[in-house]
Amino acid sequence: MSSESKVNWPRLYAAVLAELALLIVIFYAFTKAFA
Amino acid sequence: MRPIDWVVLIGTLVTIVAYGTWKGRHKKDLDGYLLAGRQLKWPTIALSIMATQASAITFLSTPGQAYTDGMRFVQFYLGLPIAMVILSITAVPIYHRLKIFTAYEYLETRFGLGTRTLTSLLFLIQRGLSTGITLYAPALIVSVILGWNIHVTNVVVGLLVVIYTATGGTKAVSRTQVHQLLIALGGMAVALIIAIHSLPQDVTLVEAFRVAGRMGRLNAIDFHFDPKTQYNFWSGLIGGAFLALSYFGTDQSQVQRYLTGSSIAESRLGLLINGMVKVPMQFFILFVGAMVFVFYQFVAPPLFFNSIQRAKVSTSQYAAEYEQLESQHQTQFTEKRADVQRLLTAMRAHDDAATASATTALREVQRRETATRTAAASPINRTQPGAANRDPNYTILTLGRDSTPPSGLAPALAALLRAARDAPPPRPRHPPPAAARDPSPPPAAARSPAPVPGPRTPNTAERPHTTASSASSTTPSTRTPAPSR
Repeated sequence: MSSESKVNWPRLYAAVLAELALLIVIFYAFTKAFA
Repeated sequence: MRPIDWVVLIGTLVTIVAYGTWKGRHKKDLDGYLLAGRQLKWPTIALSIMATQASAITFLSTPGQAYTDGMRFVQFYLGLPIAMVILSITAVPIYHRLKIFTAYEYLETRFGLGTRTLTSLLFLIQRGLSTGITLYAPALIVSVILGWNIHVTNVVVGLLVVIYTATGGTKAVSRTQVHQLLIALGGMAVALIIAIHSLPQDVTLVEAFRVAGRMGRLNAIDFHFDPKTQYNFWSGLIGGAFLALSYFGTDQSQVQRYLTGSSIAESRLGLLINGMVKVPMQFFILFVGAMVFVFYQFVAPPLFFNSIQRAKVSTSQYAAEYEQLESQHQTQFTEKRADVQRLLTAMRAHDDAATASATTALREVQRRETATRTAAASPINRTQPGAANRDPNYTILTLGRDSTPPSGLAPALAALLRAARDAPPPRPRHPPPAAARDPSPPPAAARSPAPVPGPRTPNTAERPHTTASSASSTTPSTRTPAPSR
């Protein structure tokens, strides 16, 4: 993963945003579970 | 401090300075000095970017923030990954193609020398001021642990940093930052283990979470759109994204990190990995603070965490006023501990009414305890103006100083495994105290401290401050002397 040609950038950007969405869901569940 | 503490402290400082100087020894030109020869790979860039944001302040004030205000501060970082994606698409290719040294150099090519000069000056002023605060935080740690004058420690810490940054350049800074970040995160992990390991033996990890949650410390996400709330989902996502865009896109301290990449791809990957790791990392740091809060529901916290200020006020003309507040705080802690015990018992019995009643009582006593802390800020601030505002920064320091890690990590891991095994609410291992069986709380004045099982490690028991000493008198069998330092 050190060369421009080997990285699918749109897919990586989507992965970053998908992880953010997943974290929000997890944090929300965490908040609700122990509130 | 024990000899081993000195060895670790001096060894760490000398190693970081020596390693940084050695790593930067091959720099021959401006490109090598300022941008590490533009040859760094994405792992170093990503960790260096994270370390640049995460100064000692992060590791001191963030847990303190969770201790006083809960975990909602994590929402502040929700816009960061979005900003990383936008910058990777827009700013990174432009900066790389222009082969510039600073973000402000780009402004010169676009708008002229005047704009570059103005923005550079603004950056230098802002960064110069914030660096003072950044240096202050590690100096604070050393001054609290060693009892040294804060001004002396500021100069010593500052000199050590200047030595390897001035001689080693950006490469030295980036490399040493990676190690410092890993050491700091390791320290946070140890603090978490200490806090969890020091909980009473019959309190599982899930129960500790529930106590923290009931007291509003696990409030990670709040979807309510309220402009008056400082941290909520919307302010974090929208405001945080714009803030991160300006910080990572135009602040030279960050731009310089990804300009060191050997290609656009390496710089982009560094930024994107930062976007993926930063939010969970902040969550973890805040979670440590929440667990420290739970720890101090079972062990008496001082009314004021900064021991130096505490000593100062004790010898000042405000000593009587502070002592009276301390005594009030101790009474409130005793009440609170009984309420926590009641809450645990009610939760174990799946008694919703008793749980709600104990939660209400607990929140009420917590509110009064907060009021006492606020009142204590007055004599503290009269002794030294502004000192009380910084007290949350000392929360995790106090835990670290007054506790020692368990001998080996095995007991802590065993405790975590046991907590995981006990994830469903277990049957009570001890008969609930009489107070806990009564769903309606007695008047505050009539309450007596509930029996509290001893902490898992004895060394957290005796606190060096008067509040805790009096606390120890309420549960003498649970308290043993702390090892000398």
